[in-house]
Amino acid sequence: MTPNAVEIDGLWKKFGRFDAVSGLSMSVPEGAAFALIGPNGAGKTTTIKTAMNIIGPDRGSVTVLGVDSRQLAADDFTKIGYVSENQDLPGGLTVAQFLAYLRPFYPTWDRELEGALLGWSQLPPDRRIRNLSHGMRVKLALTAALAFRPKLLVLDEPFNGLDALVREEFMELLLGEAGETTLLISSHDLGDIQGVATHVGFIDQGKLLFQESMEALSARVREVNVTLEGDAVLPRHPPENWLDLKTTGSVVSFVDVRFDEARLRDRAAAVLGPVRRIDIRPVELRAIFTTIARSIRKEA
Amino acid sequence: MIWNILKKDLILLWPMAGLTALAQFAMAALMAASDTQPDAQYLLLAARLSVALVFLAMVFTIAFAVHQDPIPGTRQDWLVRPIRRGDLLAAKVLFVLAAVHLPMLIADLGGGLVRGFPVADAAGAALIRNLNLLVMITLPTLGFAAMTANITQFLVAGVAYFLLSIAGTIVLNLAARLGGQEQATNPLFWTGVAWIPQTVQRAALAAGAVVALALLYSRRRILLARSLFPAFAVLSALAVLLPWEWIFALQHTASAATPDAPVEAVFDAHAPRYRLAAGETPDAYDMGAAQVQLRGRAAGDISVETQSRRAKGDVTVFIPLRLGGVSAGDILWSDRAVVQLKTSSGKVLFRGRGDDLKLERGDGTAPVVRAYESIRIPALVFESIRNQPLTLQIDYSLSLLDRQPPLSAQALGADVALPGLGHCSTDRDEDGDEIALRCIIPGRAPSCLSTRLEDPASGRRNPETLLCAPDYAPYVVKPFPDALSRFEVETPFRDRLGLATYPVGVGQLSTAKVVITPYRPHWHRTRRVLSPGVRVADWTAEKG
Repeated sequence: MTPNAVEIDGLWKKFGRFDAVSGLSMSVPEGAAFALIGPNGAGKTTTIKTAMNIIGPDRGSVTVLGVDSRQLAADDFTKIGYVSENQDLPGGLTVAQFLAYLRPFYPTWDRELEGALLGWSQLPPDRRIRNLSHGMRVKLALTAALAFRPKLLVLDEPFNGLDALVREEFMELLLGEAGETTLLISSHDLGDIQGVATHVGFIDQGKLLFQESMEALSARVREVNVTLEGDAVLPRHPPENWLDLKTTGSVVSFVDVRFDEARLRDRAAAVLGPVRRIDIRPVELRAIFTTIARSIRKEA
Repeated sequence: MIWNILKKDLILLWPMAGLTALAQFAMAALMAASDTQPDAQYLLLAARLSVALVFLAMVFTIAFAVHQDPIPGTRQDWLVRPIRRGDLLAAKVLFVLAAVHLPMLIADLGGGLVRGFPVADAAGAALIRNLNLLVMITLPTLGFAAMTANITQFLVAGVAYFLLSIAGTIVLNLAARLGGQEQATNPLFWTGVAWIPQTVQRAALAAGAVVALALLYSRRRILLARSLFPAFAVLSALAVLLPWEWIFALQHTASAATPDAPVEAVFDAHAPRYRLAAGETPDAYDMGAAQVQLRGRAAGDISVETQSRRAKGDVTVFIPLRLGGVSAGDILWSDRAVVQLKTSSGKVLFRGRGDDLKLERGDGTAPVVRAYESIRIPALVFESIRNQPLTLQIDYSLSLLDRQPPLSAQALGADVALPGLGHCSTDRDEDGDEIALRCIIPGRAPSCLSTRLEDPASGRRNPETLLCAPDYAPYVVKPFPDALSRFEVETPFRDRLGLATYPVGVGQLSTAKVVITPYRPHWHRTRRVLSPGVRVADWTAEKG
């Protein structure tokens, strides 16, 4: 069994009377690229900040690279890279000064890789950080997080405020560096990390709704279009695993989140009536996320 | 790691550190200029303004250094870097030492050397001031800044602290007035032991800062630090309410190595009533001039003290005492006299403070001398007890100051180094009726100083003027404006009203000398005067 780079067990965190995270448990396998997905305010950042010992848990625990997050010490951070959309970097330093400042802290800092990353990012070395655009600052943070070849790279909503081109470049870089590094990346937009993620966890209102590998998720979610003999009518009590039900003429379409091809026709006939044809299509990660999110909000 | 963080902070804050250093050097230069031209008011004003500027520069430099890597917050970069928290704190402390204290040390040392003081004296005074400010300002500011996330929070918290301090002062004063005390916020301001509550205050605040820094940098316990530091600040403020007995006991302990002296004080039932001198009022208070001249205190403080001492409609009673056991040449100084009048059953009918009592044993005076302790009794109380035989109890906290070898300087135009007094110059004062002796010393002004004019050619001597503002601190308590103490004493040679003539007058000034005798405190003990059958009506003053 693959050991976990991050193990979260029954995590609770409250801010005032607001439960930011409520009993969340999940695990990020070593070597995985784990996408923590959820709408804004779902508890992604709180979970990540707790994992990084930036804030302490109220209950439960987080283990990062085998260390309780509350015990994470300087040595542990030589193996952990962290990039956040709202990270405060020392604005008065230039890009070159910032990297020179960080170098001595990391025994594994790779000057060649730093050079390559700077080449990729096209960051002006003499420009002060406070004069960089948001996208450039994120690039700098990523450069600083990758140059020491971390065992765990944690990215908290790194794409917020980035234009499409920078996002594309960012993803290319992550793909290039993926390998021995375990990646934990949070986002409210799955489309950005579809090509990278090997695992996904879906979080909403501080609770983890599911966690699985992308392979398994892709296999169990399908968009289904059922063409009926007569006019389609939305069933009163559709199966729980049929989400986002819609009708157009004689066609009923939905997303089946527990897709079972062998049983689908009988089930469709039983719920919808006589079936003429069934079309099945795989669903993009973004569509899975939006469907599930919409369904949860509807239930709420 | 420490060096790396320090280097980063120096890169980011060098302009601020430079300005702070510049402000300190400018202040040192202004003080030097002001010392050479003591009558140039604009220089004095500029020097005083520069003190405020240096204070602000220090505070903001410290706060900015801390806020480069703040403790509160969840967005700061250092939290996810391989930075040991102890290293971060060490780097901040080093930065403050380098950016604030090193220039201060250089400025103070330079200030001492420029005025011609020996390196050891100048360096000693500079180091003591540095340590003083480290405890008084740097540590509390470090702690305060570490509890806040940015300068805005720091300023808001600072203003809140300032306003609360004022409110606390008002409340303490009101409570003290209602309780019949004089000054609650600084009841020992005029006494030689004032350094003890001041030191306790500073130590409490610094301890609070150290606790806060430890909590913040080792565990990021922000709420706990934000609770404990103010608690220490409150404790610090309350240090002024430490009982006198404890404070004087501490002073006694600090001087315990001195052998006890056979000082005794007894009620002198056979003494005549006190006779007021011409022009003297029972409320006369003569300590203020010495406080201004020897301690550099603002003249305005005296009127406050005088007013507080001048109770409305009180009756002043002069208790006669016989004082003995004071060695020739010493000064016996009463730091505090607590007077009680009790019935034979022990019921206290009056409890109050005696006024200033001091006894100077000249070389030729008798070993036992008579003195009067004046006490002010509220009129109603006086009327109710005036003819009642009561037990008098006076609890004295006494100090002895021993005479040091006299020093002298030319009355006019002297510019000399005098041992224990520093560099002194003499000149006529602005009114032209006194010789002003101005001294600068890398240390403290003496607790008592007597001066007189003497003409060696004719052998004439003017009467001696004794000034006492005791200070028993083992270190220089006042760290502003710089590491040097300045004092000025004036000795008369002409009566402007023409009522008196001095043996050494204008005609002798060119050959006259100022003879200065400093006194050094060396003994602090308590004594009790206890006498039954005292009727207060017997001891009101007679008009002279």
